[in-house]
Formats: sequence, C-alpha cells, structure tokens
Amino acid sequence: MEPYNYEHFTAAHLASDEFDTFRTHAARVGQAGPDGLLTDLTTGEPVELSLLWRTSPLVVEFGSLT
Amino acid sequence: MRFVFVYTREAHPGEKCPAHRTMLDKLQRAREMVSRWEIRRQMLVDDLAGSVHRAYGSLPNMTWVFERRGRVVYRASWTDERSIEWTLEQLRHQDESRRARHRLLPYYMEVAPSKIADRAPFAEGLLGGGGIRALDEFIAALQSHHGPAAAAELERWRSKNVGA
Repeated sequence: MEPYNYEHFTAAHLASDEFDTFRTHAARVGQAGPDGLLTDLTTGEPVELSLLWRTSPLVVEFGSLT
Repeated sequence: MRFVFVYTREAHPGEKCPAHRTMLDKLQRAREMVSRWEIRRQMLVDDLAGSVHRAYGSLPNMTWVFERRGRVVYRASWTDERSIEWTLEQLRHQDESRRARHRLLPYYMEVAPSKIADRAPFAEGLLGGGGIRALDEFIAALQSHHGPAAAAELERWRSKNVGA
C-alpha cells in the first residue's frame, strides 16, 4: 500500500477511487463529523476539531501548497 | 462563523516541495504556504500520518461546513466558493428565522456540479509550488491514465513557459 506521504504523483493517483470513497464512505451531511487533533501553526498548541465547532459554525478547508 | 485551513500532505510533491518526512518539514511547509498565499485564517496542521485528512476522505482540496455541535451541513470534494457562500447564507437565514420564531422544515439536497478545469493556472501553481518534477509527473500521469490528448494542453503550456 502506498504511503500517505507519497514521493511521486502517478497515474495510480488519477485511477484511484478516492472521490467515490469520499462520496460513499466519508461522513455524510446530517451526520456528526469525526473529531481529530490538529496543531495550531501559530501557537504550536494542539487543537481539537470539536472545540472549534462547539461555539459556532465552522468552515474547514483542506489543502496544501501543491 | 469560524474559518480554518487544515494543512495536509503535499498533493503534488516535487523538488521545491518534497513529500513531508518529519513533522518539522510539515510545519515549515505550512508556514511557507501561509506566507506565500497570505492566509489569514487559523492554520491547523494535521499530523504526519494525515489522521484528520484521512478521516474526512483524503481528497486534496475539500471543504466541509459544520453547524454547532459538529453536524455536517455541507461537504464538497473540491473547494467551491459560490456553494460555500450559499451554504453560509442558508445558515444565517436559519438563525434569523429561529430568532423570529418561525417554524423551520429541514430538507436535504445533493448536488454534483462540474467546474472548468483551467490548466494554465494549475500548471503555474504546480511549477511554482512543486517544481518542474511536479508538473512533469502530473503530465505523465494524465498521458498514462487518460491518453495523450488529455495532456496536450499542459504540454503546450510547458513548451511555451518552460521550454525543452
């Protein structure tokens, strides 16, 4: 199985069924989003997702430089 | 309303931006991203294994919207400003309606739109962010998976902007 932090982008990434998997297996609208632990880049402190949506609606964009 | 960005693995690693090997790499790249893109939102960095990214589907540029208490009200496989704005407007309207004591009827919808695949800005981003290897690997992947015609526009862009 390819590592999460792959070194090279290949045709296998385009062939992957990850978009279908997202549609059918990731949390659906109406369900609770999974909680998770992240690092705040500014403070270096751990942040739980659930703490962010506890007091207000939350918009989360995922991405990278490339 | 709160807006955050979750920094994940590099979708198109290259010589300028190799795959993360340590959490220090990842934090450094996240800082570069904040600086280069002038990101003002709170930047959160996933762990090296991508635990949160994987829990939400591992796609390279998703957006999710949660109401209070974490119920998913919107999710999109690609970030699309217009539909996010529409969703946030719906949430604001709901809040106002509740305050005005209107009876609300929840409903459900699914949408599967398409957007223009604008190759030139994408190629510029790959070259600038990842380097020539990132661009060449994407071109090769397109050729291999979809055939030569799929990569033609990018190859022309490369010829014109990068050369041989």
